Amino acid sequence: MTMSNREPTFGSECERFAGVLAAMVDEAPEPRDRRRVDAHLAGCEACRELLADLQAIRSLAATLELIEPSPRVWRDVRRRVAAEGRAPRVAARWWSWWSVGGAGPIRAAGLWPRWSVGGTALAAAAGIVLAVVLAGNPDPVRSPASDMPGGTVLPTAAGGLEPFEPAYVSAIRDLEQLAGARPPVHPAVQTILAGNLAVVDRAIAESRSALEVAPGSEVARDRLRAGLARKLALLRTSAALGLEQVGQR
Amino acid sequence: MIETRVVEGLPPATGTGAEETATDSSAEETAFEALYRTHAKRIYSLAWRFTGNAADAEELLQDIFLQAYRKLDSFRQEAALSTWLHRLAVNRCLDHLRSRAARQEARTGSLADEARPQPRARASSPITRLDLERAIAQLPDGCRAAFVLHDVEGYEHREIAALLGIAAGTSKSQVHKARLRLRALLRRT
Repeated sequence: MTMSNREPTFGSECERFAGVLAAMVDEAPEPRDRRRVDAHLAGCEACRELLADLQAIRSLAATLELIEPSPRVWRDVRRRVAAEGRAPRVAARWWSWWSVGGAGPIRAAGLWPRWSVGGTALAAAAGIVLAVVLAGNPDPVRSPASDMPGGTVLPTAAGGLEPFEPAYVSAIRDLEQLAGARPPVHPAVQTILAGNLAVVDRAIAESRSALEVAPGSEVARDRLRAGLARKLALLRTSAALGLEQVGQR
Repeated sequence: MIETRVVEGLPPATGTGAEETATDSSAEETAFEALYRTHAKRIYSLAWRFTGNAADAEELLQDIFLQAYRKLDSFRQEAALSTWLHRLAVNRCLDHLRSRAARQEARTGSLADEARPQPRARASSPITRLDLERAIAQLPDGCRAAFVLHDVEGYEHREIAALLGIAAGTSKSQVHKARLRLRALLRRT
């Protein structure tokens, strides 16, 4: 967009067209005005420039780019939200409504995970795995790092997914192979463990979906890591149960 | 027996109870963060253009999302969540302008000078978005709100009229005055 440096002057007739020119920035004039204003514009450089400038301003305004806020703002929002807490109120699961009908562009693009299912699955996974670990292990709640075979220390979440996910996947695969090579545990226990694993797998998948939508989400990244750690703990428990049963035979 | 202990120790697979409430809270936090990351740029841009400075815009952005967090439980799908959030943001920005106007009446000077364009010499150079952003920041609050809502955000005059509590004709007039003043400001650059 450019504006001329010449100095056209407005005449007395320009005053009569001021309102029409203002409206012409947004829409075409009425047919009855069109001929008169066109005739005026043909002979009035000042009004032509004015109209062109105002239309250019309007066009440029519509293309203004979005401005990125400082990351500090989210940290402050998160801190203030945490300080407010949710205890006095009943959680209304607004986020499940979002998945049902209000996600707008995200939902339309098919990107939004089913949070209500995710919440239930994660809750089930948390409760089930915790119970299994409590039943079979005197050291029930451990950090993901301490879950790693051989005491491997995992990198922190700050490095993104890559640092910790491959180590978990590898350990989980080893345990799955180990479980497959052992005599099966009691059918009832095996059924429950298989069900629990499915729940954990669903929670992991949904955490991954959440990270696709919000790659920078620390909460989603923590959930994924926790899900992987829970699956590892569940498989360990499963393997331990198999060993214990073998010892009793 | 180990089998009996494990089977009896397992909670129902549906995971109801305290654990679910705790995890609902976590899922809510994740969803809220996703909500923020999806809409923060647009709302921050709106706040920046309403206030004309980063500090006020950041404060407004925080306030808007806190307000949204407090009110999310009352969201009932009467509109898309994005529409609901944006409307909340616009209202909060307008409140900010009103309170600022009450504090600084000096900046709400008459636009009469710009009502009639005053040609003045300037170099013929391209006008960039940055030039326009800077010029918008210099607009008086009243016409800036109407201009940002109409020309930047795409609101109709009747919607702006409802938001600002003015007539649609007044909204048109404010937008036109803003454009004239912007033109004058840009011709000085």
